[in-house]
This record gives sequence, structure tokens and C-alpha cells, in this order.
Amino acid sequence: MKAYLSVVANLLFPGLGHYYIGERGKAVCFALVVLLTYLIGLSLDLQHYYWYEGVRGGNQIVNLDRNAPAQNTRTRFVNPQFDDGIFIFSLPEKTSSESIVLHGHTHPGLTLEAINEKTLDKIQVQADYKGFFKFEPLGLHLGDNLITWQVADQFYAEPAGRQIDVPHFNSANARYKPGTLEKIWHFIYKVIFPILTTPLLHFGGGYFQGLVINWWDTFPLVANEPGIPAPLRDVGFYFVILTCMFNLLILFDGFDTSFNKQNREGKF
Amino acid sequence: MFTLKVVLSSFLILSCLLFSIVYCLIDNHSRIHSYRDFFQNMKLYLSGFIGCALLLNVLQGIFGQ
Repeated sequence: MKAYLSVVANLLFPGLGHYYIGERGKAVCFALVVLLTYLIGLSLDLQHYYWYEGVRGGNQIVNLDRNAPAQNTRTRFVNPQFDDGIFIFSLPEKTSSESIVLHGHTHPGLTLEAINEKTLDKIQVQADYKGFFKFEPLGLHLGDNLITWQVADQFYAEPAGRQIDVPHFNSANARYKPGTLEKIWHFIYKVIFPILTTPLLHFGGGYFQGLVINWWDTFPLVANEPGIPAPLRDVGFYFVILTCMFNLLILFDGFDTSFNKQNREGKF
Repeated sequence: MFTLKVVLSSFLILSCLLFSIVYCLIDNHSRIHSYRDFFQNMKLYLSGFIGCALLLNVLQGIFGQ
């Protein structure tokens, strides 16, 4: 029974099962190694929590009122695990500003558009490698303005002087359509990772990513790179896989160690 | 700052180091009575992992694109 309980405890938090069966040194080492591996992985792989589907837009009526306060443009904390759609930082219902600035967070690299349905003004922007975006100011008319924001199907390319298709993950006419292999990966991301990286680490990881999301700006490891380079982002993904493998090893070892101990004591 | 190659190599060595720590801890067949035993086993694992990584690199250099 103790052997099985150690597996369950290790599933809750790496090393907890070893602590339970009296292997305290091992428990601390496992916890430190797994935490380090997972946190390195998450700080490099900023796309870890974004899925292929479910990037939905939204709309809101903004009233231009001379007596209302101006728009607040403060940046807010982002948790990629739970804010993985299009997350607008601040959009007031009433404002005295002649134009509003939509800024927020979404899937890294995704192209978005914002439309004022009253004036039919449309502006587009692409999110940076961390997922942050900031539209140019969108003009308002007096009274109610219906503001819509969504993933862009067409992106106006200035050098080409025309609209081009952009790949995104939702609409039927997009260039990107997940194949069988991607769907399998999607399943692994959504179902296997939360179990193998242990639920506590998986669901807490988004908060950690929110805390360290700007680390490359303050300490870029590679010279002359404005964002984390693609090979390093891949390394982040491999570190997350490494965490899963370590957790599997730890689960089996907890069971084995407990089983062997009890076998020696003649309990099995 | 560093070049991309240096950063990638350091992450590779770090992952080998982490692997060897975990493998040493779960190794029930080797003698681990002291830190000395532990580090001796770890040395063996670490050199093995780095050797594997280098071998993979060489194979990729020969057969890869």
C-alpha cells in the first residue's frame, strides 16, 4: 500500500512520495532537479500554454463622453495558462479620449485586427514573441462606438501594397489546418503534459511564466537578438519533455524503493 | 553576451548534468553510501551522456542535412 501511496504522492509533487517513505535526501534532490528543469523549460518556451484553437475575438461598446475620465493604458499581469485568448488590458465603457488604444496579450506572433463598426476604421497589428500587442490609436465618434477585435484573416502588407492571407488557427479559410500529427501533439499538450509534469507544476507554470515573461529584455543570452531565438525556444520545449521523463523515473523509483524496503521487512 | 552555439551547448551540458543526477539517485545497483560514491557514479553517467550527445552530433554531421 505504501508503494502505491508514494506513487500518488509523487504525482502530486515530485519528491513528495520519497519524503513519505523516508528517503528525504532523495526527495529534496528530485524536487530541486525537476523544478529547475521545468522552470528553465517554461522560461525558454513561451508558447507552451497556447493551443491551436480557441483564439476568440470580442466586442464592446465604447461611449465617447466629454465628461468621462481618459483611458487608462496601464499594462496588466498576464497568466498564459488562463489568458490564452485575446486579453485586452483596459477598454473603458465611457471615455473622454478622442481615440482609444487597444493593447493586451494573445498567442505569440498572431496577427489581430480591431474595427470601429461606427466609422468602419480597421487597424491591424502583430503580437510580439511574448504575445503582447499594441494597436495604433483607433478614432472614436461622439456617442456609442462598437469596437470589435479578432484574429485577422487578411493582413495589409505595406511593401506589397495589398492584403495577404495570414495563417491562424481558427477560421476555415486560413492557410493553417492542423493535420493528424499536430492533433496528436495537441492531445499530448492538453492531456499528457498536465499529468506527467504533475498538475501542481503544470497549472502553476503559467503564473511563473507571467512573472518572468520579460527576462530576455533585461538579460538577453545571445547578442543582437531582440527575442528568444527559435533553437532556444525548442530547447525550452525539450526541457519540459525532460521534466516529464524525470517525473516518470521518480514515480517508478518511489514505487521500487518502497516495494524493496517492505520486501526486506517481509511485508509483501 | 554569448553566441547561440555557446548557449545551446551549455543547455546541453546542463541537461546531461541533470540527467546524471537523477539517474544516480534512482540507481539501485550501484553502491551509494557516501557523497564520494555518488559523485563517482555521477562522473560516469555525465561522461556517458556527454559522449552520447557528441556521438549524435557527429552522426548528424555525417548523415544529417
